[in-house]
Amino acid sequence: MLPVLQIRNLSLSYNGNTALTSVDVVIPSRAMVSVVGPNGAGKSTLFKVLAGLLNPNAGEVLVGGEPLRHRLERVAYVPQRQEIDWRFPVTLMDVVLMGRYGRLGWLRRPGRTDRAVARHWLAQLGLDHLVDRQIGELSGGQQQRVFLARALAQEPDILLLDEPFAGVDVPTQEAVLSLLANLGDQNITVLVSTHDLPMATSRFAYLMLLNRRLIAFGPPAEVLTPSALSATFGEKMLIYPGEEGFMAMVDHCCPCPVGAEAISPARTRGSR
Amino acid sequence: MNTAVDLFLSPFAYSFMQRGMVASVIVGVLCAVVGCYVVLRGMAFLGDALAHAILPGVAVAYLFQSDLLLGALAAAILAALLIGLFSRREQVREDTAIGIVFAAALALGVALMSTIKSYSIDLTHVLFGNVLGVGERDLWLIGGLGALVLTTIVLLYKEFLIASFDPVLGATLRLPIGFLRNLMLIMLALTVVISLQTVGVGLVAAMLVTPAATASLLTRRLPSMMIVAAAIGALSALSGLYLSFYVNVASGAAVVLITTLFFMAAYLFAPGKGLAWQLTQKKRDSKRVAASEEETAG
Repeated sequence: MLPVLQIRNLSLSYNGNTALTSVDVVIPSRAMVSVVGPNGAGKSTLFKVLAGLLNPNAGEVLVGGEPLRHRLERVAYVPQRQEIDWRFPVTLMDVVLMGRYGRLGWLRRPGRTDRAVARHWLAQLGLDHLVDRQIGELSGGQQQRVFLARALAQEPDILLLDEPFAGVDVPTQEAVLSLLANLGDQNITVLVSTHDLPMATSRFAYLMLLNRRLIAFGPPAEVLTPSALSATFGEKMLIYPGEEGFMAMVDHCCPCPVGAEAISPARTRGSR
Repeated sequence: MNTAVDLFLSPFAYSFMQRGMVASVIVGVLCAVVGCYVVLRGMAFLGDALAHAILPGVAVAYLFQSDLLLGALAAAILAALLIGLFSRREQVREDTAIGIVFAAALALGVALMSTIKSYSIDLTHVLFGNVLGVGERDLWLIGGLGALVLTTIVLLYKEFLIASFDPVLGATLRLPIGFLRNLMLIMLALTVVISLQTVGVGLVAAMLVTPAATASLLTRRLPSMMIVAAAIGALSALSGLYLSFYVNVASGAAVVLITTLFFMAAYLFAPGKGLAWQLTQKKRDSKRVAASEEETAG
């Protein structure tokens, strides 16, 4: 079987700044991958390329052996920060149904199947009792889950979540993590960017260390070496030889202000 | 009893009044539906600008004695695309681009109009509408273009919804967001042109914004917002015309004032979002807090 996602020699720079250099990695089908790196490591840029929102200067991305641009409908993407108007008159159901629009094509309306798929994912994320609420009436964690439900309603092969846990409450984080763990059974490959190295190593089968270039990719136990960590985090990290191997401390601060701002009460207040 | 019926029917004795009524209702509905997107996407200023940008088109058409509506249409579409073009390169903010095109077009229009002899009368008609001057041909044009805009909005409902609500998702679904945006601007331009004769360029922004804003206070989904806005638009158009018939005020102004009354009523009394509702809610909340504090104290 072909690997679901091949990234070949990918480079991208904008406004004279290099965001990614020669990233070359093959991601196996149904893998659950965390992408970890400091701020400005190019995690969001990589995801935007994979979602077809940015064009690389060099290299290519293959999905199931074919160029990404022919397979964009197989990729679902949840950005770090939703740049939407939370007062917009749409319900949860409306938002999740939008995930079906790519399959419907022009002029056609969502039908019974589309509603069933939407309702299924809303239920999986514990939102089925809120389907008729207007999106601004939800809490931050619930809003994050709506957009995950929408991405899953696209029935993608590849799911990209950019910093999904920034500023999100613990129950939501747990609900999302346990849902992600089961997506492999449904042939979905999951890529999640995060600053949280402990969570990345304990809850994900694969770890990708990124700092403009690919530092390492593989199971966390193989990837986590002192040299790989210091190449990823540089001076932001302290490595310490301990009794049971080595100890590393990483400053994984702080994507929160941006993500938290998007879901703060101040922005949703007007909707009630 | 009879007099009440007469009161309603007597304006219809005149065929110009009949045509005016039909045109006003079409415009009321159309502006309200398109206005929902104007309100949701924050394009109120753009709508106003487009309306004024029509003026030079009308003037040129007048000078060459061709159809005024066609001149208006050409000018509005040109202005819509110009604004889109200016603001795409992020060197100029969109509201600045709109301000520049808006003022320039208005100045050009007035300059051209001032070369015409009967300048002040015609300018008044363009600025404030002349609903009683709607001819049979105008009515067909208004009806035809109105049907075209409404059909497009219904058929492309989900595409326009995504382009307005979440363009990033639209881009990942490979929707042509730029095309949809321009199409929306053209729909807006058509709507403004159709409104020219009934409310005029000076007041069309109110017809775009006020019924839709009123509906947004009363509904929570886009389809119901459009339906409620359309009903408010139609009702205001009808009652405004009656008002102008009996009290003898300018019809466009009467229509706009009535939509404003609707808005005020919704702003104060809308369930959930109205001022009165929120004040009583606050009172209820503080009572509840006081009660629970008493309980814990006792």
